Amino acid sequence: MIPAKSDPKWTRLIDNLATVKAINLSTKMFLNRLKISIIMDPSPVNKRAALDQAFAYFTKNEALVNNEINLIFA
Amino acid sequence: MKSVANKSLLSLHEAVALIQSGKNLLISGDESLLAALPNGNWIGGTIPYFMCEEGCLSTRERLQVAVLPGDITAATVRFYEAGQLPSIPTDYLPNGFSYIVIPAFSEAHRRFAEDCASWPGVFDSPLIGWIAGVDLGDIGKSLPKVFNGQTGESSIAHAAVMHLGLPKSQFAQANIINLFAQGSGDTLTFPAAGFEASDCFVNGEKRNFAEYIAARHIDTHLPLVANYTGAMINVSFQEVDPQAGIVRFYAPIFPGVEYKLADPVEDYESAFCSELHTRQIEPLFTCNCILNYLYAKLEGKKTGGLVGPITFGEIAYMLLNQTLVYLTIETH
Repeated sequence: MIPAKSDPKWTRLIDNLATVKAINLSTKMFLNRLKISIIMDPSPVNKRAALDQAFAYFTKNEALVNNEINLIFA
Repeated sequence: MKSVANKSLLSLHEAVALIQSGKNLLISGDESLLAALPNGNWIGGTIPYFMCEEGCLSTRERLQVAVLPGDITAATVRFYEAGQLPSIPTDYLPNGFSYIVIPAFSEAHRRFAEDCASWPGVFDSPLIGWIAGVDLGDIGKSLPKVFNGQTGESSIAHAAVMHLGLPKSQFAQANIINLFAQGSGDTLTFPAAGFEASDCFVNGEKRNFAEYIAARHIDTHLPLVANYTGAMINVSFQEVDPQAGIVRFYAPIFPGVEYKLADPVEDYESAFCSELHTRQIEPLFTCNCILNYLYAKLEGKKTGGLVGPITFGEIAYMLLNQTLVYLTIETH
């Protein structure tokens, strides 16, 4: 199940994109996009935007990312 | 790839019969054959190189046809100008996948390669396809082309996309087989995005990349490899111009991404078959890279039962190089 947006797991995900593990190709590429975005602009505003994008991606694709939720938010 | 009577390469006559049967088809081949096809539910692109049941080969006499399953719920083909490409994800069907073919050397090719990862929603549904090409001996003489079989239009400039819907019980998955892995050498980064680079950073130290390649006697048949959260993504070398101090690539490099030169793959055919055996897949569509065909000397060799075009670039959400891309349909 996808964590609520207020869950600190989302912040941990955004702060640990360099080490997160994923299964699906789309998720790997999506998370890499966020990682590069934060490398280029590590401001709190951009990190918040990355968190919003991540929540939207996982929520919209919940059925498809079901196999990797536990791995990503462990 | 779903083929007919266990053969994917068909004569023009056989392909016409399939189109007239009303099936949804993904077609690749020589321009003269594609241009002779009647309107129907198909999308096409030019290329004369194929993985097929006989092994990898080049032909202008036959078309390669992938027959899509009968339970596809929708199949709509449209062209996108380069400036319209970011709207592709907004046309994704709620449950399905999208198949894209882009002519090599076009503005759409460049724009897709450089920008697609930033388009909102691009990762929300499988986007898979390839870059259309021509016979290597015809580069500079003729241009790759894509076809919208539903309208009979063709283009050297537009991306052609077939948006497909699937029954609720199914979902599509795009995936890749990349036999290259990051080597243990220097970490390379680049200050700007693009298909060419002059400056780079070698373990953080600024260098001219062309000079670096020459000084290290680097084998440019091996790609640069980046680790995208566990997915190994290649950027292949096109040309090193030592006089201009410029290195050109077949896909863009991006700032912020750490690249390493790939380790060599000693026996591509064996390594590929081993990987296939591990995965146990039956793809709906597959394509492989012309550089794998050339560098791994795949002509006449079989690719473990997988068939599909050998292309000027592979697409699985993003433009890839020296990578096999495939799409599978899974059941919930």
